[in-house]
Amino acid sequence: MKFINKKDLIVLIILGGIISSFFIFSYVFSDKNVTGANVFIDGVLYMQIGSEGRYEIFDNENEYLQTVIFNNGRIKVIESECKNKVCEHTGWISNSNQKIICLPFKIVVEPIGGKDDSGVDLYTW
Amino acid sequence: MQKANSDKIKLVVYISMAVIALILIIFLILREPDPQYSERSFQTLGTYVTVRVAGEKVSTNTLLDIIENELNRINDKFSANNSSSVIYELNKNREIKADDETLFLINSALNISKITGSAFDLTVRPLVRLWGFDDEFSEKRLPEQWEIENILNIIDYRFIEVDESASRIRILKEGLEIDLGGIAKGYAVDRAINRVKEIDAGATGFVDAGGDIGIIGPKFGKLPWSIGIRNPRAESAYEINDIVHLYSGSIATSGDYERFFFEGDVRYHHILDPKTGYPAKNAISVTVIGDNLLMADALATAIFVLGYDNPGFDYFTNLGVQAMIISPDLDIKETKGFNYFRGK
Repeated sequence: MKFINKKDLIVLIILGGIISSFFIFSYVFSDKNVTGANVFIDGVLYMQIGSEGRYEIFDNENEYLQTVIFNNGRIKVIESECKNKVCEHTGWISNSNQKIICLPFKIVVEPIGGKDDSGVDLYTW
Repeated sequence: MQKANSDKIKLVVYISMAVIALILIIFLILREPDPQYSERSFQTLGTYVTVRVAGEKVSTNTLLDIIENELNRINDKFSANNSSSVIYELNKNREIKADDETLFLINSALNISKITGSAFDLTVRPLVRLWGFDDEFSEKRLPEQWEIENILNIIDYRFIEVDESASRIRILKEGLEIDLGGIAKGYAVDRAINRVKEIDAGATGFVDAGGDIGIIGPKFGKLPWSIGIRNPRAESAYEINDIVHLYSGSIATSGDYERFFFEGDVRYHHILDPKTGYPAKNAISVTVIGDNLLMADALATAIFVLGYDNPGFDYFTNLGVQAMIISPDLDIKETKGFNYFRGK
């Protein structure tokens, strides 16, 4: 008894190919890494970081506030003029649900892109 | 004959597939959509707050407004640094006529001070200021021993008098000051969540006040929120050493890594022991899970001060909380029910 003939088999192979290539495409081209960062001061977008490098942040009176680096899909505040240094102590961030916050200067650095593969919704510290 | 059988089987297979597809389409049409979460972040209560909420009956924006307004209201009313707050007035005038909310909050702080043997003490403000941990703009420094001793002679919660019948609060000792920073944040989050639930019982989400978290309701109405507990000695603030899952309630963590400075090789952090006047030494992180954030936040501080070897550690479960403490040697101890929250 022949259940599947040659034509059926071709249709099944084509369907399987389409479905597999869809999954492969979405896996290969998904943005796993952070592609940059938005820097906000007091809720207003101050700078959009799109390429790797070192970025200095100044206030309205051109006073230096802090330095952010974007390297290898990760973001970090390496230096800040604030007194409590919590932003420096935050270290590298590389997930879409992570932020670097400087309370004294009201600066928030938010990653752009990047999948949340941390397995957690939020953090207690 | 064989071909007829084969066609019959094919027909059955195709009809089955069509029925399954139909059922799936009907399921997709009829199922309730997942709630759409909106998020808002802002600074208040001396920290950075992130709210994520989805309403069932009330618009999400309205709920976000309610939460933000409530947190700001409580910050303005109880911040010791705000010159129009009741606490500022009390510290300045040494006596105030208080409303029910102020009486409740001061009484709560006094009760926690009492049950923790002043490991949590609402009069610790002069000591915190001496070290420079009172706000984010202060210069941090290692005080002289005589300065610390002078302050230790002042701070003592027993010199706060609450007369509920006369709605009056008095500070009975010269130099003594009150700071509700240790519980006002937790209280504010609890209040904001209660206000949301009063007008929309089916609302879900969370309020994250600088890592101290109150849950509004389960994720998508059915799943727990997965919360990572910071690894206290990791280089990144987002490196975790544990995950707990909460459908409701609150979680707060106190750690020596939040605000600190180094003098030589010694790390001096912001959780001060009201008995010694120095940063508490016998813990590096404490996480507390409870029904409300007021208690969880205050007890995280108190348990931290009491330290890893505190023989009364398990006693705190009588207050409706579960706790985990990490020692300076990275040993971990937890109350019996804490592990329950690791399961989903």
